[in-house]
Amino acid sequence: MARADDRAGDNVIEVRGLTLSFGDKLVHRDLDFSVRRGEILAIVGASGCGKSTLLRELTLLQPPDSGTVRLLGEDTAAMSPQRILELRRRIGVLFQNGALFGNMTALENIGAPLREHTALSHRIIDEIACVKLGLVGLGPEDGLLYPNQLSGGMHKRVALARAIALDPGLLFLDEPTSGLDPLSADAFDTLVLELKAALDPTIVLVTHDMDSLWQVADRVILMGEARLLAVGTMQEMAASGDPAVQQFFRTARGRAAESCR
Amino acid sequence: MTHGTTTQRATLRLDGAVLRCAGEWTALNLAPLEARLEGLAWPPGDIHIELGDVRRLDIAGAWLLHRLQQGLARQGHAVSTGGLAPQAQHMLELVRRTGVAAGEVPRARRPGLLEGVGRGSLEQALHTLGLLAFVGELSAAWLRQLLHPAQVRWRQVAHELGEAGYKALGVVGLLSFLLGVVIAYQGGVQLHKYAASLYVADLVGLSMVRELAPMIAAIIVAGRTGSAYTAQIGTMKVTEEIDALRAMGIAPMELLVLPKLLALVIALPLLTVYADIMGILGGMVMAGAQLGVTFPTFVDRLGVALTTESTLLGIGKTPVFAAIIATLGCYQGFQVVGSAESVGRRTTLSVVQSIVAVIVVDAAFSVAFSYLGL
Repeated sequence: MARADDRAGDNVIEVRGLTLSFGDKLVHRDLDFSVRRGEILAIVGASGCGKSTLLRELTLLQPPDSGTVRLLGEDTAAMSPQRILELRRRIGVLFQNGALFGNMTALENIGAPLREHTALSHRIIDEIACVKLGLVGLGPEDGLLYPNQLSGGMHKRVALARAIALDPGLLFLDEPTSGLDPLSADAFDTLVLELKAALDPTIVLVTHDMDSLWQVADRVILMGEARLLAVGTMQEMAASGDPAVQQFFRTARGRAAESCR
Repeated sequence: MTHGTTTQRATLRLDGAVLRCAGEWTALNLAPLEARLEGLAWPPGDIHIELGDVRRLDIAGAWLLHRLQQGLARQGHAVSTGGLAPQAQHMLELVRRTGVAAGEVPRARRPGLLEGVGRGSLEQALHTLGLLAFVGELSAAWLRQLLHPAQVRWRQVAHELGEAGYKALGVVGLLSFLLGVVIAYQGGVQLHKYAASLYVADLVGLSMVRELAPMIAAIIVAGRTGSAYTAQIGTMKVTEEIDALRAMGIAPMELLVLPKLLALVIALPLLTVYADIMGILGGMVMAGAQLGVTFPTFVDRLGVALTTESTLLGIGKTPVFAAIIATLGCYQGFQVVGSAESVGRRTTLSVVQSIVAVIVVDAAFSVAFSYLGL
């Protein structure tokens, strides 16, 4: 089945010369990288190296000082606000803390993008939200819970269901497994892979979780010192002779995750 | 992707017993289809759904298709499908596996009238009890600190005093000045008819000092500071900062509430004195401009009309107002649960309840004063 996005070429995201600083603090300078269609790309790096800020730039929530971000083949700097709104409907974002709307039930949260962007009847929207809830492994009865009644794992799942509400071709996940117990984190990784197989979105995720990296990431970008330290598969990272890369991946945690493979 | 032109609408057409679907069956395109499906007159017997021209199917599209199949089967039609691409077939299978059935969305139970009234009354009763408990707890903490004044967090008190008092000077001054102007004008017109223009000083002075200045200062403080207390404590509750304080062995009552209460009890009387002065100044300016009462004449008359007793009665009410505003503001802050919306609702409640309570208590003071002949 031909997808409308196909003619954009093979890169879903192209970043060129991206530079950003907050006051005197340089966040990153001259970043260049691309994300290929259909891959799962992980952005890793020490805490505070600007991973989440980079994600905010890619999702057009934080304008860069200079450089370009091309999303789904379009230069976002040249886009009108109207075009950006249209583009956003094709992008799903899972925020680090879920960012579920506290005054809505899980079902209403998932249905919110559909309610805003389509003229479908409320009945159908609720049913579609139930289907999405089923896809992330929750039952319809969980849909009546409010965010403060959800456990950590359920919270992330509902947030993921909301992120895929409009079946986006591009999905951003900010620390999807942080704050989950190892069992839930594993289940979440499996879920991401299942959704990937079923819906085939391109996924960009920020993570600290070495197990996640081995399990889901096709390619990894290591950030540090305000630039890209390395790009490659986990095998390449693990075998790298670069001291900075070794320092990050050859920690006890990194080795443990590798040996579990 | 070239701009917008590639978007292809989703369509469907009933051709005898064959439903022909085409285009992009994706969430953003489905709304017209839903309406079309409602209005179709299905022929009896077998229905074939032809999907060969569907270029794209997403979860929402697959659900619409699935619920159509379910609906037709329930009406006794035998349904067959054809032409579905493998990936779309997979999507449909995925939707089917979730086991959701059309029309079986769980709904929150709505309470009946009687149950609603019952729950509402219970909630109100619990609310009143909660407020009483809060006042009790606050008084106990207050007494403890009275016995050990060294434990009072004076730095916090000073900070709150600046926020609630000093920063309110501008708006309190402006509003009481304007209030003085308005009263002098409205009253002056009447007094002028009886050639009693001079008594405008009595009118402005007494009404400002006894009633209006305490009231306007209290209402401004309720709106400015009471709401801030609720929002601050409420947000701290949502982000678990209150629990963090408790876990550290710091009583939120002593760190958050008492300094606020103490600061407001000091700030409001001072603001009221300031409002007295600005209000009378406003009246004086208006009396000079409109009624020809010169400033020295006005001040002389004021000296006769305005007794120390009246001034003290007016100011004496304000610590009570301050205690009401701070208590309600903080109490509502602690009542916040869960979400940002709750913070908003509690802030509104705190302002409305404070203003209502201030006016009711002021009326009670008036009755008591007249009974006592003050």
